[in-house]
Amino acid sequence: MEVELRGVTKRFGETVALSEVSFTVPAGKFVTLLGPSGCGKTTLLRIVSGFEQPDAGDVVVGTEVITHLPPNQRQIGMVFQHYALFPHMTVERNISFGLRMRHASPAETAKRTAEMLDLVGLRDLAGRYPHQLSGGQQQRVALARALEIQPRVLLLDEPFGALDRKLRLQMQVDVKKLIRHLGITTIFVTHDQEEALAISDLIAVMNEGRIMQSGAPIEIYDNPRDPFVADFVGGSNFLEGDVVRADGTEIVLRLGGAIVTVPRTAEVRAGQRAVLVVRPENLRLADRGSAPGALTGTISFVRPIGPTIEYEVEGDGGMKLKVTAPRSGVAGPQGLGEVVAVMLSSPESCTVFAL
Amino acid sequence: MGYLVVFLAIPLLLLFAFGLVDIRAGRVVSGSWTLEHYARVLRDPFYYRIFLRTFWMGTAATVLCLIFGYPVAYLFTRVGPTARQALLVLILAPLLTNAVVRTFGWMIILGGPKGLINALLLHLGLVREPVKILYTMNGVLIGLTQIELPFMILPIIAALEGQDRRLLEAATGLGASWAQTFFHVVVPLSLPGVLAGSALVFVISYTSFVIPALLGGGSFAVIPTFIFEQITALVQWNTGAVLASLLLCTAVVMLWLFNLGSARLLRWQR
Ligand SMILES: Nc1ncnc2c1ncn2[C@@H]1O[C@H](COP(=O)(O)OP(=O)(O)OP(=O)(O)O)[C@@H](O)[C@H]1O
Ligand SMILES: [Mg+2]
Repeated sequence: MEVELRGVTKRFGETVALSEVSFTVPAGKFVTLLGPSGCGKTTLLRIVSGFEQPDAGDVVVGTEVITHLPPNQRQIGMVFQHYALFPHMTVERNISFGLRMRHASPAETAKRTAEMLDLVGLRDLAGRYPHQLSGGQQQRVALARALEIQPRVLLLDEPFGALDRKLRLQMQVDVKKLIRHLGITTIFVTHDQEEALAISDLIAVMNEGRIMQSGAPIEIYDNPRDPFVADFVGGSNFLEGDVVRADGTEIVLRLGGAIVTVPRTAEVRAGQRAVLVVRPENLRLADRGSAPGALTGTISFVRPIGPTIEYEVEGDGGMKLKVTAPRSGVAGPQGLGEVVAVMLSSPESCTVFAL
Repeated sequence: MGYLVVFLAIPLLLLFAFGLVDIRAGRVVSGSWTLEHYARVLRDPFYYRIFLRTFWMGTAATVLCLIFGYPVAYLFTRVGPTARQALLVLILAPLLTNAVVRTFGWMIILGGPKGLINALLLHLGLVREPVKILYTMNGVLIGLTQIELPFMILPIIAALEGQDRRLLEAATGLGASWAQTFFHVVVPLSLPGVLAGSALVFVISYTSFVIPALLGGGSFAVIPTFIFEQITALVQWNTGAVLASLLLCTAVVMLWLFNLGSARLLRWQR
């Protein structure tokens, strides 16, 4: 079911946790709230689930305004960061809790609980207590418990935060598949941009209580609407310079001694200061002198591990450039201390912001 | 270790030994051991009745402390810091007064037709005749409950304070009402505190002397007051020693059974 926030504002004393957030989660979509610590992600989830009341604005599920509905009548499933499993109940009792509290018939409860146990693959552990489970298993119990009540919306607050990397990657895949299979509208919270990019249908990037940009992962990644988004999602190089020329199709920038030309993506005029945002993988190293007018610098750090090699290049104007190159097929300069030219691989994938 | 031997082991051994020899007028009269005194006590239904009464007194005091203590403990964990401090003083107040003085206080409140309670009840027209509370089991239970409430309340507070509040939100989010959350989550999770408090209150009441002696006023006997009488008034050291060791042993056995039961109830703890 569709979830809509209309101008939701929430203050805690002086802190503005959410500032007029308006946002729609389309029915059946998996939407991720992505943002740094303290930007209001949890607060937003708590307002949707009813544990927190907004100071202004409304929460709408489907066509129903639920802003003042108490949490136990919202029919919204929530998975907490540290699972919040009931320690005194077995896996089975934890999962069946919601239906038992609704006085569902024992037969129905047993049937649905068995389905949930199968769904998350915990049938053999039904009689265990939470402390007898691994982190990943606890995670799955929490998910099954939330799904048992057939929620209209599922909320997940950094559900994989406490898992080790390998398990986290596995759980991301499993949970995403499961949720897609069930077709349930989901709001997922994380501060891990890789995770967000990997599993979301839509991403909303948050900062300081606002949604900075929302859209499909590709869109967020390739067309960040402001420097914060560009930096937070994927990490970027921010190169400051002067606009030499700006016409209908192109912007020409002078960055130190270099001149670069990129497609026009911002309202800038000649003579203005501007910043060019370039992804590390959109830069490549070349021999100095092979490309007149390119950025130049000295390789100051190399991280040779992983599927890509990361370079840090100290530019002539004092700017630092991060460059990544695929591990296979490395050609050209790559040694520490080498003086190199840095080229734009695809100028279309750069973004310019006026300063 | 030395202290334990001198002040605990030796007196305990003496206590058991005094039940296993013949003592008259404070002197050991025969050198040989005998089980006769144990046999005499264990064969006599009279003593069973006193033990049962003592057991009842301990159980009733425990239940009363639980009934009055749980809400106070719960309230304590749900109010602000100022109210908390005030509440803590009230909770601990019974422990800050001398046992005998406090018990005399109860005698004034509960006692006779002119006691505070009766004066009040008569004044309000709730009763026509003064009710008898002092020198009855009910009076004793009132006194026991008051003094032992802190031993029930404090462990329950500790258990409630240790609860993860997110569990309450989780329950609410899953559709539980306030009452359902309370009875399915809050109460079961506070069980360790309830059990610890109950064990404490039961053992203290089961073996208590001053309150049953003064507020019971000799109108009925429980084991501790009976032992006192045997030893001081009747100089029956044998019977006194046998009953004292039986009181100790039954208390230990009951605690042990209680712990077995608790462990089953608390299987979910790590
Ligand atoms: N109950 C509260 N009382 C006071 N301030 C609060 C409360 N809850 C949140 N805040 C503040 O509101 C802001 C947003 O908090 P929130 O928990 O929503 O952040 P978050 O995005 O979930 O961060 P994280 O990734 O660290 O979990 C923070 O500045 C926080 O200090
Ligand atoms: Mg949070």
